[in-house]
Amino acid sequence: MDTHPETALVPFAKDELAPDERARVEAHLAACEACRRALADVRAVLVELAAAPAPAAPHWGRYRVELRARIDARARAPRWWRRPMPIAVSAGLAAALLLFMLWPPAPVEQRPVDLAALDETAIGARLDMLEHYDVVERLDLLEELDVIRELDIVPVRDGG
Amino acid sequence: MSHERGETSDEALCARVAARDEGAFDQLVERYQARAYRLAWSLLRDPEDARDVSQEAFLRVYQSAGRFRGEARFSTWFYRILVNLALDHRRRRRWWERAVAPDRGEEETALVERQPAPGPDPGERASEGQAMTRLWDAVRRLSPQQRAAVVLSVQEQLSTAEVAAVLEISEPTVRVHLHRAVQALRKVLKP
Repeated sequence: MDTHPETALVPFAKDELAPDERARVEAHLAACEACRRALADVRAVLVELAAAPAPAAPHWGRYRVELRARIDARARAPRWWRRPMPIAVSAGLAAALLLFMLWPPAPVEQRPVDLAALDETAIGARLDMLEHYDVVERLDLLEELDVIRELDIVPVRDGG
Repeated sequence: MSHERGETSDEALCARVAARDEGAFDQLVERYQARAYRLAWSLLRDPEDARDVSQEAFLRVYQSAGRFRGEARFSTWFYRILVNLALDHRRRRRWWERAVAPDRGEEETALVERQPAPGPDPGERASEGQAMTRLWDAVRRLSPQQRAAVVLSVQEQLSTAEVAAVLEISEPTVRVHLHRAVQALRKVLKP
């Protein structure tokens, strides 16, 4: 190994290198005083870090009770789309809607009205009346106005 | 995590949590609570933050156990959730401190983080406190990835491959992080 195996020193110190890489590092260390010193420093740092006292453990029973309460609270909390909207967001949306409503509309191209199409539409809407046109023909329009108004509920009588 | 013969594996428990087995969840919490709290504490150096973040990690496991596909070990998946939450928590806290009190934030954070880990014996703590304080103060100044790599590798005794899986980076990158972190910490021990 020609170059210094600097980044392999921590895994080497932790004894987790594969055998072939470990053999290469060992061969380099045998010939390189600087890397041996570096390895000693690495080991010193690892020992100090590992010697760090563990934090004072919390009361685990209370810890689990708190955790369960958090889970229950999260389960009860409405989803974001069901939550009441913050005032700032509501105000922003209202302002955007107002702006949209007040914004001058883009000029719309005026087309000539197709009167024939309108007539067809109006006739189409009265097709049910035309189906009973034979009844209408037999009525005196002035006297039987109520009958005409309720034409859709007047039974059609055969032969008048 | 290795288990005694006959003990249900973490992965099997996680599958049962996905099916809303409350007992399985309690078992997972009991198995991991100490490690989760210690890891969060090492990354955040604050008891309340460690409690908050580690509980949040368990909550995420409860909510998303169904998404654990078993491609990695449960411990790797759980550590990944926890480390991401801790680093995110730290980022948000620092941003908030800078926003609220730009001059005081760093100072107060440093004071909190300079405290050595509370040990069982006050006398022992006092004698070891100064050296450990300097060391952890240096750890605090490492980049988030270097810090996470050091804590996972040294404190949690994860292999380089496992650290890489947790942090979702390559093994050579983990080696570089560890090398640079150790270089920085070596200066504290040997000024």
